[in-house]
Amino acid sequence: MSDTTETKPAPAPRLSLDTFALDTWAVAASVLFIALIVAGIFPRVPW
Amino acid sequence: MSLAITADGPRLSLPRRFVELLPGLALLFAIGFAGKLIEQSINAYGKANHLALPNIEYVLWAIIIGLIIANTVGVPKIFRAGIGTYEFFLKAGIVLLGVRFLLGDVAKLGGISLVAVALELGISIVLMTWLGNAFRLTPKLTSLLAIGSSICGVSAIIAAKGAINAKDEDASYAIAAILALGAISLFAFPLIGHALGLSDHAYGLWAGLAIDNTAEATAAGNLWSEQAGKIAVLAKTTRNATIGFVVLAYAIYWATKGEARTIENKAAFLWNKFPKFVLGFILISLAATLGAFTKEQASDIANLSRWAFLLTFAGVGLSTDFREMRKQGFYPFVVGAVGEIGIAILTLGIVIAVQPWLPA
Repeated sequence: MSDTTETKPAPAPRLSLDTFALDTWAVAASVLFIALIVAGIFPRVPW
Repeated sequence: MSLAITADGPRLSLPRRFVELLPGLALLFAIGFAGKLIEQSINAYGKANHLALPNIEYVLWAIIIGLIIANTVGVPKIFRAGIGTYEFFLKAGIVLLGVRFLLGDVAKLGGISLVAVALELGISIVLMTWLGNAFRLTPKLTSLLAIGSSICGVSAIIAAKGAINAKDEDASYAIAAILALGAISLFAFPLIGHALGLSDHAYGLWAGLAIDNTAEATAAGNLWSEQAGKIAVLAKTTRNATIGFVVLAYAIYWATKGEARTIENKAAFLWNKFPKFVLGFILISLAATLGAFTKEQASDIANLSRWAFLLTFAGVGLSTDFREMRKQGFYPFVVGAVGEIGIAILTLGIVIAVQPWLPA
């Protein structure tokens, strides 16, 4: 398939915080929590 | 949906944003915790009075409370920003759940899921495209419904909307249809699964393959059992990982018709659309496999994942507004419903076919 077709410009994205950013935040927060648990700083988590 | 926290508006300072999120976060916690209390109270009452009451998981209570609020009094504006964070908790919960998977299991179950996902993708896309044409929906709405039902509901539709230059109404149609159908399947899947006598693994794989939105697939799995919830998350995550490829294929298709922007750098596009939490999940699973955590640490991490899911399930109920669905029109819903029922039946066939390779 060709990529050279004439195209309409896409509208500017309306979402300022897309799923990509949410993803990155989720991974970063999880890794931080785990680091705190492993370091023994975070209190034990009951369920 | 995460639209509540992502919508345009003046950028707020970090403390202001935090304050804005607080009421909704408190509501998520209150509803999730209420669900857990109801589950425990019913169990305790049954035990004390020697009654064999059905064990209804907190998941269902949290979703029902949320649904009742959202569909009767509605969710007041002050709570919306905080409720929108449930997708964040879903993804964090999945990353943390990685601690419960050894990499070998991920490879084995992921391999079976991958075959099942490949079949599911093909079937869903063909079925939805055919239905969309038969009901004369606009071609782009049909594309969005096909992408939403084959991969990952809301995030896939949002990812595709920009890439294929679809209209806002089409995206909201597709999102509303996928969310309402997901809510219905939450109630229907466990009933069908019990009637068919599916195992934890088979049911989890089915929920992960057939239910489109990650939050609802996770909830449907956990409604059955925690083991089924784990498998549903793994199958759904495998589906999510294909998001970039399917959206790219659609984007190229619409670009050749001159109706979408051409994608210059395909590798960058794939990386951009790839759900990063899948990498986080694999990373944590790798660390657990290498023995990075003691037993206590691993159980703390798994418990943290359960708390994150608790908030997610409350958010699912609160974000499902059936009245919104009614506004969206009848045909997209019919196409969505017929397509989803077809996909549910076909994926059930796939699950039964691969069952001999699944652990009992």
